[in-house]
Amino acid sequence: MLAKARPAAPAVGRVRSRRQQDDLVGRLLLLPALGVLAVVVGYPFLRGIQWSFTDFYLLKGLTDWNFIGLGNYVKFFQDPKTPPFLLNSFKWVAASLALQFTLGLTLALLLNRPMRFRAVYRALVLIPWVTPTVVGALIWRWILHEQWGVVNLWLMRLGVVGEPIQWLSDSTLVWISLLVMAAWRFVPFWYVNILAGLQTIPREMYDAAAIDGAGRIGSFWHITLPFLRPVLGVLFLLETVWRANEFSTIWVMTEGGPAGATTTLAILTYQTGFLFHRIGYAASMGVSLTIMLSFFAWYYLRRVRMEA
Amino acid sequence: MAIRWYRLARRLPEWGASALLAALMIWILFPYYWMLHTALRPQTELFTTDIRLVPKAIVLDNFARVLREATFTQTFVNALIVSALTAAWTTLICTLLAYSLARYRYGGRDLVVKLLLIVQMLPGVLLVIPLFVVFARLRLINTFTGLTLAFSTFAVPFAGLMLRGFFSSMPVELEEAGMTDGCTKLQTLWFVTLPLSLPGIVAVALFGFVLAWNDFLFALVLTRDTSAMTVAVQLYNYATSQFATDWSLIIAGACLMTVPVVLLFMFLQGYLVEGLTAGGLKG
Repeated sequence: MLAKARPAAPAVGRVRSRRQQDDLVGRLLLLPALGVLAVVVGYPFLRGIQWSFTDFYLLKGLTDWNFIGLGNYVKFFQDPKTPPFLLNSFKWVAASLALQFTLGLTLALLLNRPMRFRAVYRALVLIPWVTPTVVGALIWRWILHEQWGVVNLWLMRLGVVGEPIQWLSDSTLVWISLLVMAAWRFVPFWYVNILAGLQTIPREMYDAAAIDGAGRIGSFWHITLPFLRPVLGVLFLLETVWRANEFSTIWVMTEGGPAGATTTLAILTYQTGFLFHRIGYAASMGVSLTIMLSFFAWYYLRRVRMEA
Repeated sequence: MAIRWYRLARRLPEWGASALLAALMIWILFPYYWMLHTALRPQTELFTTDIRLVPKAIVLDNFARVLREATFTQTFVNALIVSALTAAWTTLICTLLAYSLARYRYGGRDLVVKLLLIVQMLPGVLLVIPLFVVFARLRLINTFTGLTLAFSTFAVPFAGLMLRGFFSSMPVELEEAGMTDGCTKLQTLWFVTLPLSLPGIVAVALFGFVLAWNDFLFALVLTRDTSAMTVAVQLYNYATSQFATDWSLIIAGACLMTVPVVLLFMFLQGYLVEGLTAGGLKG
């Protein structure tokens, strides 16, 4: 802003002002990183949009494609098999957010109270976040293994169930397994951000509320939640986008199965592109996903605070 | 008597909270316990209904077996190399970017930050399609170069945003002192800012390493065989191939894959919160 207000007068001839020279150096420092992003994100992204309007088919070759206008998009949205996949995406995002928010908030509230070993708990809670997705998904698959998984063996030994529960091969139960695993993986992110929000609430607010006769629940509704609103707003927006884009967790856990029960739009895009080699068609799905998420992304960018 | 009951009732919420916390901690930590439990049990005792919380015998056989698999050690080393490369070079270019964003005052800096945030929100499954085609044409499929470039798509925005946070939180007075002594801004970066922020920069590099190490999608699509494949993809391959029933081996491999990140986790303790909130996630 200062740069704009400053008159350009000193930059006469070849003599640059200190200020302008400074700005130039600053912009030059951006170049390496932005250049890399242009090559590995910008260019592929534009190519992806371009190819979404083509019949690009990998088995026909890497350079042999024709423009077919909106053909892929029309085909995708007219296909009667499409709505269930969109519904799966919606179910996945909505249920993930609801579960992860609830558990993240609970953990943050629990670990915001004074207690012994609090630092230890706070560190342990974060481990799933650094654990590789593949490791997390495989260990949960093993825990929930139908025949030899510890959950089924214990449930049967305790006599809770007679038959092994089909945690991953039943089209309804698979959602529970997937959501529990995903929550395990992503709750730390919610927890840390919510805890950071809780720590900005001044103690005096609660003291004042207590004097006014507010109980625990009252002060939660009238102090905690209003204070958390900004951070929860951006969290929900960002997580909507991230969960909708999620591939690895679902793929390693279920591969979109059984029988497509957990195939979200992101999973479908991968399958279309790399199992069926329909690059053009897959690109149109990916672009559709991006367009559907752009509202959330736009709103997120408006709400997020820019200062570091 | 009545008073005692009243006291008890008052303490109930406390007990309830403790019980809830205990349940949640078990949910979070049990998978790790079971991972060790499975890896340390003899393979012969894997398929048994006589399941015990504490295993009868502890053996290291499964680790020895997985380490004898050339496909495992090879992909493990591949992942170490590619992750280190990704961490090193993204930290280098992002230090310049972040310093510029935090200390220079030209217009359009917010736009750059927004750009980084947008890149973080693009679907990986969309990006990987054209990346695959372009890399296939350039013969970058199944190469360390290709993987390192692909990992930059998420490592650059992350490192850029996190480093910007570090530089912004550093007192500008020290640099001003350097400039009064006649340094240019770039010289202050080299002689004042970098040495002071070295711990932060190392932390960002280690985070970059973890992100690359944990990647699955890009490595799945952009590698073909064990000459460039990462261990994440190899573990997944075990679980879906001839080893599919050998859970001792798979889980032992998973344990080993977790070791580097847990070690880094301990180093990064003090930076974890910054790392998690680095997306500029301030409402």
